Amino acid sequence: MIELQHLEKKYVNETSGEIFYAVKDLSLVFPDGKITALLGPSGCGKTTTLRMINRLIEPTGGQILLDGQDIMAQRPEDLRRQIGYVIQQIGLFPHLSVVQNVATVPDLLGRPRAQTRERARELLELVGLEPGQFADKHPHELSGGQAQRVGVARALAADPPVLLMDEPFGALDPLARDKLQEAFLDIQRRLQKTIVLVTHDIDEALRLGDRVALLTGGELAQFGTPNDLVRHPESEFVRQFLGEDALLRQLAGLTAAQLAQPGDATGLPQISGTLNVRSALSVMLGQRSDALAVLDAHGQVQGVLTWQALEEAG
Amino acid sequence: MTPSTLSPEVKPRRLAAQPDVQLIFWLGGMLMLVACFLPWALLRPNRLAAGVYQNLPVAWMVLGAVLALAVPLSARVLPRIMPLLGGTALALGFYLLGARMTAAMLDQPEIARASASSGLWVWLLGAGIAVYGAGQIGLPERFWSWLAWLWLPVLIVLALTGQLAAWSVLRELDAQQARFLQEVGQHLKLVLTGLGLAVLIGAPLAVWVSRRPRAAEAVLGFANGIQTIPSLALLGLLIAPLGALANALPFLRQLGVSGIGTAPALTALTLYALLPVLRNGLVALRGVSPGALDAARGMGMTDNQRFWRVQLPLALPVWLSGIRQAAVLLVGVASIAQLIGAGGLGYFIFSGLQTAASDLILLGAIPAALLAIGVDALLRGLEVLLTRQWGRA
Ligand SMILES: Nc1ncnc2c1ncn2[C@@H]1O[C@H](COP(=O)(O)OP(=O)(O)O)[C@@H](O)[C@H]1O
Ligand SMILES: [Mg+2]
Repeated sequence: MIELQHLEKKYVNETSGEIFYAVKDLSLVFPDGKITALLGPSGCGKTTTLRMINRLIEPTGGQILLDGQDIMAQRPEDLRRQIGYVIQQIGLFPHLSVVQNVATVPDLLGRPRAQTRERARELLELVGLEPGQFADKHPHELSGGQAQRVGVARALAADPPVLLMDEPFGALDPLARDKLQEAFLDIQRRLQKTIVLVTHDIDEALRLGDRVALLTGGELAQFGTPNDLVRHPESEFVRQFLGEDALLRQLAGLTAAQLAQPGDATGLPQISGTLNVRSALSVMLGQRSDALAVLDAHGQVQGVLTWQALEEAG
Repeated sequence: MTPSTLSPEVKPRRLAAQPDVQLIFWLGGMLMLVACFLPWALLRPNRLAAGVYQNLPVAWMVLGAVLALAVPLSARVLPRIMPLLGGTALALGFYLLGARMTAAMLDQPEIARASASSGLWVWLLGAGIAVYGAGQIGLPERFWSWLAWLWLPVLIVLALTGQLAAWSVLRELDAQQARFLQEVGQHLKLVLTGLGLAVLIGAPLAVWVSRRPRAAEAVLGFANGIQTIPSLALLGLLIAPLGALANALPFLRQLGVSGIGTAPALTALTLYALLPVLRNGLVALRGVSPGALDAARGMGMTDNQRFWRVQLPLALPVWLSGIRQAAVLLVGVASIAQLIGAGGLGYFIFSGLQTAASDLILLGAIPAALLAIGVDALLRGLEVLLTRQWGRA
């Protein structure tokens, strides 16, 4: 569990002496095993907040507790080796092979070579890269999506309980981003890490975040589940930032399988359970049917998605 | 990042037909053609006397002209034989150097000198241009491209079997062999020591200032300033302070420090090499991807680990190209170190200039040029190796 208590970062302009708060009186709890999205417009202090958690930036006020311990009690390097770190620029080391890149932190921790290499290959497998094919490649031989998969594997290598990610999918084209988000959710379902995900992309925050912390001007605008933010915006800013189509956007983040209920599916149009609900809605409208049969990965009927369930969700 | 795109199959004929490559072959061919009708040898009764020019025998003249014309004419239709043609022309030049000098020296007394004349030099220049042009075609077949190097084994065999011994420059070498080896050694010593000192001072300095923008400006300004002082003037400028220093501190004089000789020469060479080492070091260290550096820090590397494991290895290939520039520069500048009594290949160049003995000048200038080319090739190879090793195009 990561706790921010009255966290503050202020910059003093050297020439004018003006004071600027990049982050101001920010108190937040990132729950264990969940993805918390730090969302907000550019310049609102997301990156600053994230980088204070692994002490790449030192706060000017307040405290950060990691599992109840003040992070200032440790040497910054030791702290960082227990926290995975993924950035938008990916930042793979171009002179090292993929497997050497992944092994960086275990190597820093002095773990045995053979064990580390073995683990690195497992991680490549986990992020969807065939180790036999990719282990000995160099970063310049990878596509953007593949490189960021390596970036994620590298962050996971020492099995840290916490993962910090700064716009990790931001540099990818929409197709690669979509696939990687999917893979990322899948990995998280298995690993249950405590993840802080910085993004300015509303769809990404609603889709990936178990919790969303919306920031503006260095301050917290609202913190809650995606549902909370979409349905009960606490301020005009939140409502406007999420936009008029926030509900539809949120539907896009849910899959048909998530809303399917037991019921009689005979004769209904069939859709795949992985289809997002917004698309399911258009199938309903197109087929003029108020219910759809939802199929699982093996083509078996998993349940029924009804108009009513959609209305309740939306 | 996108997956590296493979360059499309290169069509040699297409490429050779490019106007600029054609132009190279025309230039080379025309120079070779002109060369056939210029004198190739100059025979003098002794090394200082005036002499008689000798043309090529008619048979060689015709053969040379045919080869000269073949270069631009076959470039369009048979690009793949261009390396072979260029390499052959160059090799032929070296063969004729030996053969014509030997012919000229026939029945001549020992003190007579046969030197290469304009025809030979122009031919070598033209053939060299043809070889260069062949390298520009970008032939896909390795084998055909390598044929451009044909001249090298030919030259080595000619030299080792003594076929070139009649050439005046080699006569001169023969007469001064011990001195030659000594001065080559001194030249190398000057270059390597100067370069070594520059790296020893410049590398830590570059690392230090790469984190301090303001200091970087000052240091670069200083090094830039030194570079603008002509090398001759710098040598002169160092005579007075070093001389004074040696006079004031006798123990320094015992270490070999004085206003003239090796000490001021080394000081000047070191100062000269400092700028390329510093500037490229700064550019290289600052050019390392900020993403990689941020990731390194974020993953828990200490400042030292980050420098040695990430920043330095990534900066090294670029840095090395600065060191290469410095090395080539020093080979040249070391040639004038003789002016303040520091020796080196400049010894032959300047004694040749004083006595108007062109053979002596060449005895200094040719090895100096070869040394520069060799140093450049060696360090270039190292750069390519590092770059390939670390997978950056
Ligand atoms: N070193 C710095 N000095 C002054 N201002 C800074 C510095 N770093 C960041 N800021 C400012 O702090 C604000 C928050 O930055 P950041 O956390 O990077 O925003 P984002 O939400 O886009 O990640 C921005 O307005 C930025 O200009
Ligand atoms: Mg940011």
